[in-house]
Amino acid sequence: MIDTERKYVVLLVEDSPDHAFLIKRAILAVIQDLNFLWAKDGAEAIELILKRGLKPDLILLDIKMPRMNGFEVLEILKNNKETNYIPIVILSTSANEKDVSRAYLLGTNCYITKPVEIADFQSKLRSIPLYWLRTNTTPSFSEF
Amino acid sequence: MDHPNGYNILLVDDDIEQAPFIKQILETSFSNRITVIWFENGVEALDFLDIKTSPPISLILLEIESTIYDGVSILEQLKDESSHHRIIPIIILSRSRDLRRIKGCFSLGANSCVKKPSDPKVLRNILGVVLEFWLTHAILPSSLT
Repeated sequence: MIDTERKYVVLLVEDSPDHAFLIKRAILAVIQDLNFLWAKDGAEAIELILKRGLKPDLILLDIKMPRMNGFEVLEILKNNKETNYIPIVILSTSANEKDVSRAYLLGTNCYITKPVEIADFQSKLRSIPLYWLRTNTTPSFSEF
Repeated sequence: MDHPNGYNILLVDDDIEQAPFIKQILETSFSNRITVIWFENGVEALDFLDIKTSPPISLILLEIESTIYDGVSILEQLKDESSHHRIIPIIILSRSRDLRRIKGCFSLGANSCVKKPSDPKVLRNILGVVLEFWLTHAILPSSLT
């Protein structure tokens, strides 16, 4: 049964407070009624998901982070039967061919670059909730 | 990253009434820079991908509830560790809201899943959002080659 009262949970995994602020603001400008959580690195995200049982509807994942990078997070979550269905969108400053291929081969659902221009960045960010929460069918809602 | 030569989208759908309509919507979008290669049968689509001279595919749209092929099995084969095609993003087209099945598709490696309504206007809108997101905002693996 779908719980229509339940709010979407979006987990951002991002070490830059400036980027985290921009991303949160852009996402909430599109869908206000969601729970937006922020993990400052990969290790904190893994702790939240695997140890504390958080099951986000969408994970926005940076690649270059201290303690545990985005590739490591991706590999852990996509190889775990309890978490492999959770959509993960890589949000990275890197458009490097190796990084993009590696992310897709590790199972990212999508790869988006962070443009330098703020307006471009915001346009990309706004497309994320519109696509992933409004158009894509969110698999985690099947649990309710 | 732009695709100077346009985009090839593989459509796997056994609905002979709706699939040509989807093909037409896609091919008339993005300034006619999209070529759709349509297969009614998923097994034939797999064979096509294995041909060395096949063009690079940017996206695969896979109808999962087919009566002539096993959509889940096609997805499984495309996203298998040993598959040369597993890097290609696959968007599942689903007529039903069977969330358990959809969750299963994500677990098998589907990149996304969208509704495939029978209403042509709604379908056109959904496909527009899909193209806008994947071709404008995302980086596709096919842009790297």
